[in-house]
Amino acid sequence: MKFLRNPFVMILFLVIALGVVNVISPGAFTLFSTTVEAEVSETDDPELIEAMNGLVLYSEFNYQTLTQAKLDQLSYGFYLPIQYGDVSIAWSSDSSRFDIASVPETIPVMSQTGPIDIEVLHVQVLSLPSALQGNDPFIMTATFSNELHESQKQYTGQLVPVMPDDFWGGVFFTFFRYLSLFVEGVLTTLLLSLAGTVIGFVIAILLVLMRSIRPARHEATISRLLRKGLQGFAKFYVTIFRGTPMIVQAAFFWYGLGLFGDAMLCGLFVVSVNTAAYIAEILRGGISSVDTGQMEAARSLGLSYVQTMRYVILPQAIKNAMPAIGNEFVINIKDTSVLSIIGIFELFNQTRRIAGMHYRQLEAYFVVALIYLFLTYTVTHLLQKIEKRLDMPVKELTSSN
Amino acid sequence: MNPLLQVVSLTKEFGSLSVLRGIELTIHEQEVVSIIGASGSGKSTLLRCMNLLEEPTSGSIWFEGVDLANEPVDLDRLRSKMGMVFQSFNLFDNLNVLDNVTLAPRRVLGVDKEAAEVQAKSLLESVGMSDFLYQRAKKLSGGQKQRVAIARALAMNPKVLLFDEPTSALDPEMVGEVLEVMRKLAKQGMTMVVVTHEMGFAKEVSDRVVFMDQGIIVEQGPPSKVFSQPKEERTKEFLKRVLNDR
Ligand SMILES: Nc1ncnc2c1ncn2[C@@H]1O[C@H](COP(=O)(O)OP(=O)(O)OP(=O)(O)O)[C@@H](O)[C@H]1O
Ligand SMILES: [Mg+2]
Repeated sequence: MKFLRNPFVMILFLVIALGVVNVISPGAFTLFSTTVEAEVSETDDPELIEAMNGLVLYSEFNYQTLTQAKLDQLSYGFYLPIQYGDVSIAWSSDSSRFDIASVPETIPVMSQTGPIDIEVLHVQVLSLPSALQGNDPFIMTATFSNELHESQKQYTGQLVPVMPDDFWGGVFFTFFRYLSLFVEGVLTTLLLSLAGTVIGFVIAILLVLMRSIRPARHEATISRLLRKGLQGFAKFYVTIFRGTPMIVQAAFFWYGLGLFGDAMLCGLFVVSVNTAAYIAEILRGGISSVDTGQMEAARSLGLSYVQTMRYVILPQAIKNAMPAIGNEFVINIKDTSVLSIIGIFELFNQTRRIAGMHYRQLEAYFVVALIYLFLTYTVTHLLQKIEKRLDMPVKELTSSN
Repeated sequence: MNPLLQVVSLTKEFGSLSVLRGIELTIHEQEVVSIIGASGSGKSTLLRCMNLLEEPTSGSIWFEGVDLANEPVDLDRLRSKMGMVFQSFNLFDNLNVLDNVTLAPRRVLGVDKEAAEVQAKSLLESVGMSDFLYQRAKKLSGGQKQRVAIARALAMNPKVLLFDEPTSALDPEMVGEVLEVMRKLAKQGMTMVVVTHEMGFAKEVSDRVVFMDQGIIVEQGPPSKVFSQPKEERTKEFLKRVLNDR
């Protein structure tokens, strides 16, 4: 397995392995996701319970309410109230990335009764994690107390990296921050295009056989009709699927017919039937490149037409067509991007999702272009190596008996 | 001698081109028949009609008691009893030498792999190719290819072997090795129909020589007669031309 030494190929296999592990056991990589559990201590004091349930934190941005969702995506400072009715609240945190002010200040916020001023501690973010470090979870502990009781509640959140403003910083950020999403997309894309090519290849062989049936010498009307029917079908199939864009086929089968009820399966179906049409034409060329003399020699030995195809012509036709079929795989890596329209999160759709998170289209699409380039380059390289191996002389016929 | 293969009133047209125009020819068991004639006279077409690689336009091909050309017969089965050796060898490029020879016995006759290989090895030995069992057919020289092709045809135990100019595509130094194999076969009593430009071979090995011109058999007889005392003017002309060429 010499070709494994190629760095591109190694990276590709590494990515596939990582992705597969991530699919099998999500969260296997801390880089991708972390969670911390918040604890709330028990109390019977209704005043404290009300305060603990009702307390609201405020963001630095226009003093907006800080929901849990925002807490989990934090990249800016916020305010911690120190009073709720008669309950006073003391704060502490484990995070070294922010600093809780010791002196309270007053901020204007909206309450049900209108704007009011409340006393808060300003939390200033000192540093954010880098894209490589990923989200940094933190816990803040609030101690609620009145004259009689004391109780604690924990707040969890995550400090998230922010995208640098410059292009290369943005590219770097996008790539590492969303590596797991990209890997997922790569995996889906590779799965669709590889399985689609393999299934398409099998369908293509059937199509080619249908199309190349020769009439028997004394052909009955029924078998004549059947033969013409099959030939017509194969021709029709190729014309239809090569003559219409895959995006239209995808929309037709998914939105039109609702095939399979599962976008991924439907997508795989679309790639397969589409690829079959192209490979069928490639194979037809491959068959005509095997000289007719071998067909005649086989027939003169008493082999039937089907046997001749199976043991003599198709093996050569397929081998001749192998580079072109490999090329179909590479084309599929790129063209499965149109399946985004039926809601499959392959690489391109995954990128759209990522681009939408920061409204930074340029960096996201630049990164995905590089990933596609990496994929097509590496797969092309791999296929070439495999072809070379196949071309080595066979020592013995390995066929089923 | 019993007739093995009988061609009766055979005609063949390619569109408006009339290539065979009423051929009568009987091949007897253990007979070696050479067919000679100018290029385009229809020799190959006649040979290919015998095993129905070409469908005759009219006439009959009698073999094994049936008329191949007109009766709904199992052509594959009958073809397997008529071996054919082609000018361009037509070995199966995807297979090695041994598999070229065993393919048809295994797939058509259902012989198991071991038995087929034992037989193939002895046939390849008899054509002097036992050192090349696992070579790709593609990599052989022309003479080697043709000897493998002969072994391949013999592996089906055919009743008759049809040769279509088996040495025409060979470099001169390889012609001898192939003719040697054919001589040996003739001696062993194999029935052979040989379309050839090798007048020496026709003269020396065949029991009968058939001269064709423009789709008909002009003259036939033992080689001594046809070569030394041809009756027909066209035969004389042809022989004068080909013999002077050398
Ligand atoms: N499949 C075909 N379609 C049309 N014409 C054909 C076909 N096969 C042969 N012919 C024509 O039939 C005629 C006889 O051809 P054939 O090959 O039988 O001649 P031949 O005697 O074998 O000649 P050669 O010595 O050159 O091999 C030629 O004119 C040839 O062009
Ligand atoms: Mg010829």
